[in-house]
Amino acid sequence: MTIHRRRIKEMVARYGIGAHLDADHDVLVSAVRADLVDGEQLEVVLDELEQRLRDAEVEDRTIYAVRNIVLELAGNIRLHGISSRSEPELLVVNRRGADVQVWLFGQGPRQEVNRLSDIIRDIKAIAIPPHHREVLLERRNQGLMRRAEPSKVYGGGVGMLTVAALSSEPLWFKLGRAREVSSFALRSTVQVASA
Amino acid sequence: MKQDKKSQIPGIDLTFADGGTGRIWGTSGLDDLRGNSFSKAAHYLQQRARQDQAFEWTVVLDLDQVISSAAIPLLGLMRTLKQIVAEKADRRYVRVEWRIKPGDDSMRSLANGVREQLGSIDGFSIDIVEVRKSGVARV
Repeated sequence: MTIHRRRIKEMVARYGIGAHLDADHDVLVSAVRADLVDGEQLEVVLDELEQRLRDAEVEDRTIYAVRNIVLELAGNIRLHGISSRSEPELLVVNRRGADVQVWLFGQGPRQEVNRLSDIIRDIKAIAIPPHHREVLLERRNQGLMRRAEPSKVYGGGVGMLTVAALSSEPLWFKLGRAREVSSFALRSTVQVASA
Repeated sequence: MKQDKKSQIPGIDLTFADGGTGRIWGTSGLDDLRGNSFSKAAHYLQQRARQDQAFEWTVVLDLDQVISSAAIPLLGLMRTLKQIVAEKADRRYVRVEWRIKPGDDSMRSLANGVREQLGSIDGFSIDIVEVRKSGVARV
């Protein structure tokens, strides 16, 4: 499976994250928009990711968490992202010491990206690791129950609550260019326990 | 309804041909972003209930992943099953067996949340069972 090293290096340089992501050494999988908006393609990515984690003897809880985080982020791109030939979205999963990190380098209308930033800030105000998982999943469930009747409001906050709940550290978010279209980097970290 | 092996839409078999047991399995993800498969299943079950009148169904929910945006229709499906029983509680029985994998915290929380939200009535129950390598255990 292709690892998009050149694009990853561009993102590392843009967001100054060289201490956390090394395109040549610790990337498990990477995926671009075409992989992230199509169910069959995403299944290929998820299967490859799971295999690599199992090869490293990562236990089930971490694998389920990482799979769910990738699925929620892909859904976010499908629902809110915009296609751009010059800067396609990029998802990267890397292993850094005791952590698996899921990176999303995305873009969207400035209003949508600002909303995402607000959601992440609000989630941090609800609970932060290590005593966060139950609280955030319960808040996610409450959000779902409130919206139990079909409406135009889907995912969004509840998806990001799921991502934050399954992460072991607070979500890291950095805004890139902010014009009509804003770019951003988001990182979810899941601490690994050995099988 | 059959599931394509690699698509992110759940497989659904609610014909109850197998001794009154139906199954929902696989992933509700990008190909089921709005949870339409669950909404369609709920509609089908309403029609089926009108046709059958009295029945005992077991619905095995064996999902690998459910994206958050599809969880609301899944809750709607469970609510429909409860309503179907409530309409004729003396002649209808539905048991949902919601299977979760040990360590799948998101699915476990969702299952518990739905069960708490709906509560139980005579003839309708949601049993959450943990699927282990050694077998299944009720949670």
